[in-house]
Amino acid sequence: MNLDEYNISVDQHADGMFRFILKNCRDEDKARDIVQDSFEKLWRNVDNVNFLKVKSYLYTTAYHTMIDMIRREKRKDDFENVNVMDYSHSEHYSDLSEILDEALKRLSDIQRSVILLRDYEGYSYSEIAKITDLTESQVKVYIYRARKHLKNYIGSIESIV
Amino acid sequence: MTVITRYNYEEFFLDYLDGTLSSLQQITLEEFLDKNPDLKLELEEMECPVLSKDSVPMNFESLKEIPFRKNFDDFCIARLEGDLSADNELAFDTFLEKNESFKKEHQSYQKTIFVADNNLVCPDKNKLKRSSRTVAFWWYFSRIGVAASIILLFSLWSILYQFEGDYSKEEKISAKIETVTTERNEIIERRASNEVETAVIPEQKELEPEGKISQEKSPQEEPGNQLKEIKVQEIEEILERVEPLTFSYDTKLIAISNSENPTIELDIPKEEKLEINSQNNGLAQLGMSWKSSVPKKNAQNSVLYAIAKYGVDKLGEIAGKNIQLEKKYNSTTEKTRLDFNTAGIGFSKTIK
Repeated sequence: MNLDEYNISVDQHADGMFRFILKNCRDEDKARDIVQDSFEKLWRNVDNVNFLKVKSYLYTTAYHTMIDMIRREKRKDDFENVNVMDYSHSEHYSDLSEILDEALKRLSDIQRSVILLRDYEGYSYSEIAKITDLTESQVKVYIYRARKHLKNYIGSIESIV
Repeated sequence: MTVITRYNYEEFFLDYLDGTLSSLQQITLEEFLDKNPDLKLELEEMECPVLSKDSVPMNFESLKEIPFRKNFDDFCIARLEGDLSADNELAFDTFLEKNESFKKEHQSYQKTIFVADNNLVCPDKNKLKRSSRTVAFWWYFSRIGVAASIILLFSLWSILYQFEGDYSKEEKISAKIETVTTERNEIIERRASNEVETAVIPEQKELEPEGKISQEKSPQEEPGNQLKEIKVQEIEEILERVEPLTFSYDTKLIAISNSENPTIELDIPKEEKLEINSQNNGLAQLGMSWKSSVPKKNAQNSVLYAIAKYGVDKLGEIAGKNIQLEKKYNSTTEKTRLDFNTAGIGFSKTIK
C-alpha cells in the first residue's frame, strides 16, 4: 500500500470506524483515540498491508483496541448477562432510533459489536468472525440472540407506548 | 424335478410366495403340505403382508410445507440476514402475506436493523492523513532512535557530571580558602575569648572596600602578633593589585575543634590557589570566595539543552508525536534536569 492508498483509506474508512467505535464505547474522545491509533498502526505497517484488505485490517485493529480498553475499564462484568426482563421502560422515546440506541446499550459488548459490523458495514459472517476472533457459528449465534433481544425490547416499548 | 422333502421345503415355500413355482410344482407342494400339516402353518407365517400403494395414507402437502409457524423467529432472522434461499424467501413472503399476525411480528424484526448515521463523521480525519513516508520506516528506525536517545542522554549526563566535578572541586577549594578567613577572624575572636575554637563570619554583612577593611581592622590588632603582621602585609600587597569592590558573603560557622593550630588547615599550594582564583584571586587571598560560575554554566547548559531539544524533536518527528522537553533548574543543587514524556512512543518502558 502506498501513501495515496493510505490517504484514500482514511477517507473511506475513518468515518465508519469512528461511528462503529463510538456506538460501542459511547465516548467521543476514546473513539477518536482508537481511530487514530488504528491508523497509526496501519501507517507503521503500510508496506505490509494490502490495500484491498485494509478495511478488515483497520476494523480488526480498532475492535481489539476497543476491547482492550473496555476490559481495562471493566465497564461490564459479564458479556453475556443480558436479561431482557430487567429492561427499564421509564425513559421517554421520541423515535425508533432512540429506542434502538437504548436497546443497543443493553446488548452485551460482543453482541453489539457483531450487530454493528453486520448492519453498519455489511460484513459477512466470516469477515466478522475474522475481525472478532470468533467462529462463524458463534457470530451467527450472537447475531441471532442480539436480534431477538432488540426485537423483544422494541416490542415491549411499543406495546407500552 | 426335485422332490419336496422336509429338508428342502423352504426353497419351495419361498418360490411359492414369490409366485415363481410352475403349476406342476405348485400341485406337488400342495400335496406335500397335506401330508405335513405342521409345515402348512410355517408357510403361513412366512407370508409377508404386501402393502398396496393405496393402503398407506400419506399427506404429501404437509411434507411440502415449510415449518414457518414452528420456527418463525429463525426464519425472520434468516430472512433479515439474507440467509434464506430464493425459494424459501419467496415461500416465507407468501406465508407472511397470508398471516397478518406473523407479518406484524416480522415487521418488529425489520426494525432491529441499524442504519449508520452518515452525519456522524470523524472530527480529526484530515489529521490522520500523511504527506510523506518518513514515518513508514518508524518500526525499523525506532530501535535506532531509542539507542540514539540513550546515547544522547548518557552523553548529557556524562558532560553534566564532568561539570559537577569541576564545580565541586572549586567549592572544595573555596571552602579551604574560607578557612583562611576563619583563621584570621578566629585569631581576633580568640583574643576576646579563648574558650571556644570556632570562627564566626558576620551574616550578610555589607563590606566596605577592601582598603577600608584593612584600615579599620589593623588598628585593632596587637603590634606583637607576627601572624597578624604577615596577614596585613599580604592584604596590602593585594590591595595594590585589586580595585576596590563591594560585595557580600554568606554566614559560615566552621568548627575547628580538632585542630589546635588553625594554620594546619592551610595546606593549599599557593600556585593552585592563584590558578583557581585567577579571576578573583584578590578575594581568595582575603579568604573570601566569589562564585561567578552560574552564567557560564547556564551558557553551557543552554547549548546542551539545544542539543537535547533537537534530539527529542527529531524523535517526536519520527514517532509522529508531540514530545515535550521540560527543563527544570534546581537552585539548591545548581543542577538542570531535562525531562521528556515518552507516552505514545514505542519504548518498552517510560524513561526520564
